[in-house]
Amino acid sequence: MSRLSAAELIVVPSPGVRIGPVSFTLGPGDLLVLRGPNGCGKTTLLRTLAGLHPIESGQLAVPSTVAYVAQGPEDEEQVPLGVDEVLTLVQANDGSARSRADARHAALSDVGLEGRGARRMSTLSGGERQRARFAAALLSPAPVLLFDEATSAVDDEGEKKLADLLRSRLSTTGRIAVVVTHRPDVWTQPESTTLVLPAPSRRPR
Amino acid sequence: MIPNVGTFFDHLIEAHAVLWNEFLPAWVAVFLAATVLPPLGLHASFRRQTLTTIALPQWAFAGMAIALALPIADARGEPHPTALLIGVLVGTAAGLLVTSRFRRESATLGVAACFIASLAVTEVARALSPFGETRLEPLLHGEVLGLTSAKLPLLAFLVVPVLVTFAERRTWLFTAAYPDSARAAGVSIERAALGFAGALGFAVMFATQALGPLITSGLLLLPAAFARHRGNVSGSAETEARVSGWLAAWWGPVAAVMLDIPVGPGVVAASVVVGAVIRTVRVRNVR
Repeated sequence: MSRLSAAELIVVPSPGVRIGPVSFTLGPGDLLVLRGPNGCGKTTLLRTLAGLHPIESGQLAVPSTVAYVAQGPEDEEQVPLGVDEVLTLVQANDGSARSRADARHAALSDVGLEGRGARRMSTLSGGERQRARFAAALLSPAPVLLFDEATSAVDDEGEKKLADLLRSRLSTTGRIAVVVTHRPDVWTQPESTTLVLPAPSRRPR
Repeated sequence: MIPNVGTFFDHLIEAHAVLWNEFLPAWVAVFLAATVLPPLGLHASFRRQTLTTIALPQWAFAGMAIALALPIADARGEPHPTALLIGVLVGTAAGLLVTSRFRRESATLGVAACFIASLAVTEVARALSPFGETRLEPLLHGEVLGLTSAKLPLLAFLVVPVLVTFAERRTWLFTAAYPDSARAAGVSIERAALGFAGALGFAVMFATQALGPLITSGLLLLPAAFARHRGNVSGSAETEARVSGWLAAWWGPVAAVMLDIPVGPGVVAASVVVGAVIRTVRVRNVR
């Protein structure tokens, strides 16, 4: 069973700026909603959970493989990827080619992108691209899913559906998710955990 | 004046017969190079590493090809000027690697710079070397029809490991498009970059040694440049680059025989014509 936990975790995004200490423990099916004002370090903390940023002190236990959906498109513009190709990048090689294609088709359908598998990512709207990346994360075999404002360009109704979809997947698969968002009304549920980061503390240099 | 179509087709068939009967090893060698170079050129442009991953192997391996073609030391054991030339080439390549490691340049600019630089370097080598005219000039101009069948098995053997590396194409794309997500998923960006650079360098090395820099550059860059069309997704662009490369490998030597020119310019011209035709057809279909 996968677990994701942090104990007295402190992260330093830049000299003189400190995030934490942060502590939480997440088990199978758990969803952590990460909130806070702009610049408080939500993205840095998420990148730390993804293994992309070093920890300053404290303890962090994360599975070796996580699905990370960044706030921006990373270098997506440089590579002319199709929507179906994006899903292929993260999909496990299990089963036949046909079953994998069916799984990709179903994943796109789940996020409201049915019939758009052959489209090039750059031809989609911002919200549609986020839906595609969301579908890719759900399709990946990683036990932990990290979303950094990954639905910020999706319309209200669509974001609610994606939130419901994620919660449903977490409960059926036992995976863990951390979601950075500025829309707590969409993502926060009685059963979810919320962590609100304060404005970062600045130490004298 | 109405061109004699019958005579043209007679020449066309005759050129095919000449290539098949007398120069088949060279023709096959061009096909082998066309199997691996165009998709590698395409992935290099995806990775925005044109200056490093194309220029570096081209410069470094051009130097190695020269080193293999010429004696490093003369009969008395004195250092040959070629050794100095190789040192300059390798040094330039190393400097290029260090200075451009973290810089992302325009792909078009990089491709053009690589093409000009590789040709310029090899032309300088030809001019400076005492063996330039006899040994290097044919290679530089792509006069490869003299390639013997004895070299073919080795060439075919060298193509196989490059083809095997294409099993990693998904990793190449993942690390190029989503480096952070790839790293978080446990994929080593450095290993993917190293594997790709190794495949590219290896392919450029054997293609340069067997067919010369003109054919190598032509097959590496031109089909990729045309395939990287606005409407293409990476999979179809890769297919288009491969098909363009094969068509250029087919028609380039045929044109060379028909026009009595070296194969090098023939392959480059065929790459341009094939790329332009495919692009025009695609644009019409899209519209």
